[in-house]
Amino acid sequence: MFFFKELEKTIQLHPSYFGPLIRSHIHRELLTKEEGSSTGKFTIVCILDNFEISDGQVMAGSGSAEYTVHYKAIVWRPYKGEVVDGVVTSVMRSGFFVDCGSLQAFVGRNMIPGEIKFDANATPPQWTDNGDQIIEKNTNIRIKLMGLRSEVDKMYAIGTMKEDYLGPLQQ
Amino acid sequence: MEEEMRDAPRAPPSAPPVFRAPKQVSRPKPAVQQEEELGAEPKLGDFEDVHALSVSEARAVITAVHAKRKKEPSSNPLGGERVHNDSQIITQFLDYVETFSRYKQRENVQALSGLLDSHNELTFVEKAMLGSLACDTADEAKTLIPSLATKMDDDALQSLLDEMTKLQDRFG
Repeated sequence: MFFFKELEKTIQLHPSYFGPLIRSHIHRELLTKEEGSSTGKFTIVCILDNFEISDGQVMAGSGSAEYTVHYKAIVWRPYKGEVVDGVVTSVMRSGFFVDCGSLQAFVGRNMIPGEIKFDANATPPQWTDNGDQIIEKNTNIRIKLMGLRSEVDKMYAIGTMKEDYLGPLQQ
Repeated sequence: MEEEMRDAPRAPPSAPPVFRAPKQVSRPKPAVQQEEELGAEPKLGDFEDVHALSVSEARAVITAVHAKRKKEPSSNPLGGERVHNDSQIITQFLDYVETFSRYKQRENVQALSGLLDSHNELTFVEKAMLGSLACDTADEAKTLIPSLATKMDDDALQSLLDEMTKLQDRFG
């Protein structure tokens, strides 16, 4: 789910940037370094343009200055037990992968309702109940996150479809 | 000399000295990590009172920020036409919000948040989930968002969902 969160970041600036355009330099540093980064718990999707900069402090020994920037951002944070929509990216006999933004979730064979079977002969391969539920690449699907694992800069999840009201979204 | 000694307050009978073990010197233990999950009782950890956004609201804000960066190239530190730093993650999220936002018209997003705000009993998270998932029936909403089950009765929830459906752009 998306959140509107206040965050803080310490930025170090080389002395060559000191001057009238210092705010713009800090802003650029903030946008290039922070937008799209993931802390392991959440991903920063978009930084709002108004932000506050503390007074800079020159660091002993290097001459660089350190600024603390206070900003607001839209962050995305998945939770265990959350119901999310996603797009199917690959389909295999053992299950399928769903992309929810930057989160990659895997729905294993045991997490798919029994009546939905794998059909390797279809092109592209699909999971289907031979009715209106067809799961193939690029299907929009609703799943529930069962577990989350975060690595540096990337999150992975295990999802399930074996509950009421989950499954492919009707187009 | 003796006189003075008598006037002085008697020292209380000293208690037998208590020996305490020296203060333990060790690394502080990390705070107990509570399981953070969305269930019947959402536990959000440090996001407890942070404003949650539905996919449609997030899309509205992101589009507005990017449009402003494009419109005012002089105040855009990335320079020129660039609205974000071209990282793959941002592109993925832009695609994601574009695909899954049910309410794309600005007026509809505003009307939706007004409608949800009139229900004081709902938390930020429940409002955001209702706005993102766009359920059809009260039963569906209560299954997907378990914490709703005790907050609203089916009729009130159903009428809220019907109102929300009216604001929705046709999906797909």
